[in-house]
Amino acid sequence: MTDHIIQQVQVHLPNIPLEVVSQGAEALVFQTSVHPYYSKPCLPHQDKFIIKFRPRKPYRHPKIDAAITKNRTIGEVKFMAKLTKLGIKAPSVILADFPNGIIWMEYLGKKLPNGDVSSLKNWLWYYEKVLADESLCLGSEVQQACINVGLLIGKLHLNDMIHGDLTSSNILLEDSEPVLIDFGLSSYSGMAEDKAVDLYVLERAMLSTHSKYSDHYVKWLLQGYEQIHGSKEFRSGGKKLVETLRKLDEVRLRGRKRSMLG
Amino acid sequence: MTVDLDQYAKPGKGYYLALGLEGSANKLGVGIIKHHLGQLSSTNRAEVLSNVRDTYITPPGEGFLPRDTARHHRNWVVRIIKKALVEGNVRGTDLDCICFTQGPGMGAPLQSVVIAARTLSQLWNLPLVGVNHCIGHIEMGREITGAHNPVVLYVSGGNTQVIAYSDQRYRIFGETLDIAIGNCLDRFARTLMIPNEPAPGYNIEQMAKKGKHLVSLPYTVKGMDLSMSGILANIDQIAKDLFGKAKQVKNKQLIDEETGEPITSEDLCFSLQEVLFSMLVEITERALAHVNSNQVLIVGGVGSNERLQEMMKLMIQDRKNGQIYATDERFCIDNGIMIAHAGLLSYRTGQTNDLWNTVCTQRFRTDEVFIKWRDD
Amino acid sequence: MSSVPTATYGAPDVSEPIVFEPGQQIHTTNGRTTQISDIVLKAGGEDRDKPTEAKDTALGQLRAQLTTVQDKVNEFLTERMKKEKEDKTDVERRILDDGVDEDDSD
Repeated sequence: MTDHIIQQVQVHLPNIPLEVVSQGAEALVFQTSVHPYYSKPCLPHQDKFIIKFRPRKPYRHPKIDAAITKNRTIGEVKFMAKLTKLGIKAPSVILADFPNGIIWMEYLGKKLPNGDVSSLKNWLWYYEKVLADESLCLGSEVQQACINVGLLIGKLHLNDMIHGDLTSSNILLEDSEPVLIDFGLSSYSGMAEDKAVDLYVLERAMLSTHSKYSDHYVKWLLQGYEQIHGSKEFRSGGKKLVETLRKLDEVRLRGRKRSMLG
Repeated sequence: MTVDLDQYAKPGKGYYLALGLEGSANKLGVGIIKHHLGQLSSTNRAEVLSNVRDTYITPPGEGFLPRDTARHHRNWVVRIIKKALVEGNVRGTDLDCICFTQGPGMGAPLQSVVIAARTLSQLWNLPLVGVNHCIGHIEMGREITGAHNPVVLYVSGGNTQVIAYSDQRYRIFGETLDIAIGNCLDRFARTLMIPNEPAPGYNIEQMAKKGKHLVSLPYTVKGMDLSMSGILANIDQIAKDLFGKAKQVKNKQLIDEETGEPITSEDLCFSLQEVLFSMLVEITERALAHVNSNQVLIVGGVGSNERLQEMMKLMIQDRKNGQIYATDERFCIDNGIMIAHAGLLSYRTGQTNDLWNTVCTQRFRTDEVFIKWRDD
Repeated sequence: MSSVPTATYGAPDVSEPIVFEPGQQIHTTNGRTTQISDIVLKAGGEDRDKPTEAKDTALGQLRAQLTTVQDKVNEFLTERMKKEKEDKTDVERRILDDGVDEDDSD
């Protein structure tokens, strides 16, 4: 089934070698050795690049599908460009084909010992399930990584940017340095409510995917998040933090208080 | 599944019988189920002995109020119970337990039904088992379809959740941030004054089949969750502009850009379904990707919608070994048998409710229930 | 031996418990307070959920008597709720004119 999707993208990228890296719900991520227009680009990796492709979704009405593909691709590229400008770690964009849902970008991340890409999810699962080592899961390496993730998300929010789909699959680790990826649902907002929902989504995702130790991970994430809000780099960080955390409490309760009938 | 389900079996009896009462919304259902001893499996299926239901239906343009719904349940429950016993060929005293919906749902209707449950329990000297309505849907769906561990899309008038099992809980991965999808569809049916018989959602589905022009509506997936009140407000406004009776509004005509044809209410129903269902399929797909699963089970009243099933099937076919499971209207739509089934599973693991502990609750999260009968 | 259903109401602010009995009137299962909502009738709906008529048996009479008791209880409680609401909305006047201390719990 991935084959016919690969065929779809090859139509737009003829003669480009593609190796599937991951297949998410919305897009396929490929690795390629080819840069679209430079033989020696100014990037840390010169022979590895990522191509993200949003395929047609046959279940959606063609009009809805075309609009979503184009809008999400445009949105993602604009968002990534701004992040790079602000110094928030994210892949830099090389090329984009909006109607066809293609983004060519910088390669980031490493391979874990079990061959999986170093997303936060895979890395934690590696410690939780492959090595099944509690002392690693609750050790200082994981703690620092989570704090760093919190710092990064905090910096994002302090720039009034919302990721929109924070899960442990959407955070890559390059030597304990976290990088955010997948900005298909990202948006711009200064509202505490939106930042709180962003955090809540991550909290819930961590609980669902890493249920055994998630309360530790989340505690450290929030630690890093709080830390950056105290940084001198950002005006009224403290006040924004208080508002966001208060909203987070509300959102958590709302999740429990939402009335369900029938 | 290796949990011992026969610790509380009565000596000399090779099976269990449970009666289930459901009335959390406008459907009143009574069902009687039979489990033979041993693990439930493809060779040892639960048997539905009877499944009777009556629905409280309001005139077009009106929703169902708790007070009238409770009245309906109060005045029909004895009839329905008697019918279920006759059809199942079972006497009250043959039963092992009385199961009832403890929540979530509307307060007054739930209350009417629990009083009936408590009465039966005292009449026939049987233990009571409170059941979470959502768990009822999930467990019945699994049993009827044989799906062992699917991602569950639970869509009804009062609920919209994407659920995956993990560590003895049905965990909520994605859900609505405001209203449920069934509620959204029902309210739009009221705007268009579509009849509520047999169900407003069913009538919208039939109209949608005749629609073909797509009207542009907002698309509001937010991460793993979705929001629908904005879409409803949007389409309500379009409908009011087109068909409204307000004197100030000169009935505008909306024209489809491509064909030049005017937009009809069938087109609106079609557009609403397309956008809402696309969003549901998307958040389900996200959950599948996140837990590395390829099976989807759709439960809840809106699950009987053929277009939703079709869209979900198209999505799942793109995945390796993708499989979709759905039940028919006997089990999709609120019913008593699902309460009997989930309740009996609880009973078999020793969980019953003392009389003082049978208070109903309007808010009862799916992940609050400890799934003692599974240990995978 | 016939049994007459009664209901007893007690509350901290009620000095003597209040007892509701069916009394000597004619009883039916068509209660005053347990009708379908007006909204539904006005929208053209029919009432298919009426309770069945009471049979001429001991249990049938019990059902009818209970309906009367239920009506009396419902009317009593509705009155009480109305009065409580009035008292609460009257708070401003009571504080300013009657000199009630606003920290008093209602």
